[in-house]
Amino acid sequence: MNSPGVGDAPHEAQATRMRGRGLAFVTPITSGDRVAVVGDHPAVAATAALLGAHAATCTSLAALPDASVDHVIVPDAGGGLASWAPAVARVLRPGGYLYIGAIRRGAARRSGTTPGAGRRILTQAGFGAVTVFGLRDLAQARHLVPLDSTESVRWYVRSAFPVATTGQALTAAMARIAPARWAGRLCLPALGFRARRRP
Amino acid sequence: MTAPPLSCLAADDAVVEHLGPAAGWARLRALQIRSPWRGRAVWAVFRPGDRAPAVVVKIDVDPGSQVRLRNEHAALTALQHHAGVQHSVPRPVALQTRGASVVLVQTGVAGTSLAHLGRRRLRPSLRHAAREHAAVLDWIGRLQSTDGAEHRRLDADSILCRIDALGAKAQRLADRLRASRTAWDGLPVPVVPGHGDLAPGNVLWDRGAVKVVDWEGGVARRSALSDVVYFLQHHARRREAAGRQRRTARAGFRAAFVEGPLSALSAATLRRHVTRLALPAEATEALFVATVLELADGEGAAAHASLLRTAWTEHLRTYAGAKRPPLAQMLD
Repeated sequence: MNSPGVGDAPHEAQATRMRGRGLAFVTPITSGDRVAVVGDHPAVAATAALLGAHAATCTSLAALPDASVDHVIVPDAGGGLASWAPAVARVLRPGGYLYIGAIRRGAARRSGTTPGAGRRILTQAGFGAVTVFGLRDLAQARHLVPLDSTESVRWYVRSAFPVATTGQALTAAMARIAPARWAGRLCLPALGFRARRRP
Repeated sequence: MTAPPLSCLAADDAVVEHLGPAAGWARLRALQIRSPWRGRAVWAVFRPGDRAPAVVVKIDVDPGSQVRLRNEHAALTALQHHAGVQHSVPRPVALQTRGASVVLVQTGVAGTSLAHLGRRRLRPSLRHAAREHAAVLDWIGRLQSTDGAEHRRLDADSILCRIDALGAKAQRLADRLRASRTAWDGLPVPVVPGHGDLAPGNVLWDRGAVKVVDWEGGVARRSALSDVVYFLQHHARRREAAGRQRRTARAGFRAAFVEGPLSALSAATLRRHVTRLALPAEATEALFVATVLELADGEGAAAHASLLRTAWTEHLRTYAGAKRPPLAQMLD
């Protein structure tokens, strides 16, 4: 996929306006669904509205009644997946979908979560069908790479990992020869979880 | 797979035929790819063990841009009968309208984009650029190799009139074109199938072979030089190596056609294409100017024509103001 090719790189304002836009497609939103987008991500709500959903942004889920929405999208939960999961489970109707982005815990960062821990937290909170994606950055969420697919991770590293600096070029070179699991850790420092509330 | 993108496609016979029974789709994995367009989502769907995506699914919910997916489906369908390029473009699998969405499914294509390959290098490489120019030129040659090409004759009066309208800065260019007028006035330029958005991001390099994706501009007939000029300009714009900035549109045009080592390479590439079309090499600069004028009119690049008109008009001014660009040096 290619940008129009005119002018300079997107301005900061444009990047903010577009931020996380693709996240509206992560869960199967259909016309008439009620969607809650948590945080300052108007592009996600606008795209969900294009899909025919009733979408609204909010800063917290406290004001929403129980089982009142069909989809909850939390683009950036930081390291607090454990605190968000019960709140989302409360407002989501049975069978509804959740997407939540979280920082990945690694050798250099002790906060955040791991794919396994995130999956466990969501399962304990009443979710099933958990899919874990790797992301380059939480807010923009440009590519969502399913981490349980070696082929996807390899393809991303080979064809889409944004190499802007010499350091990133070296990271990409290492990731191309590393096992897929390590390649994902090197190139995808954030995580996205899609899950469905058990009916 | 119960979530997007495949949950909505299970009822499509063509998709099921391509991917196998929906019951086995649980093993497929979808990677969501960034799209700059509002209301657009793109997925690459992988089978276990495959190097390239089994299918690419594009969904568009913005009524203003859905026509691009229809264009792409029509283009890919037409190209399946084109012996020269049918194996280097995706194959259309299905086009659906589901409620407010248009869904296009096409086969995946192996390879890494030239834009990405450039970024991965640790330093700019003219040798690699030359290799990429040659491969893409060869591919364009195969795309354009159709029988019964129409022709459009160059109209010297009209072209010179528009160059004169650019003012005193364009005097040098106008003088050069007048001096070589006999070589190009009335020259029949083939009007052939083209891509319309042949940027390095849409050109995949797969073990030495070129493959081209993103046919949203359709496969309409265009001047035989428009894809080449468009590619050369965008190729010069890309990030040449990690740590280097991507050039602005204007700087990319200057690097491609006005000054620097890439411009000499571009001039040679353009000249080679002109010769391949059986047109006189002395007419290369005039043909280039005529093509830039067409792009400024929005004729050559169909995919993002409205966005590019202003840019190409500015590029023409830039070229007209150049003292001695490589294309002019070829006339010596």
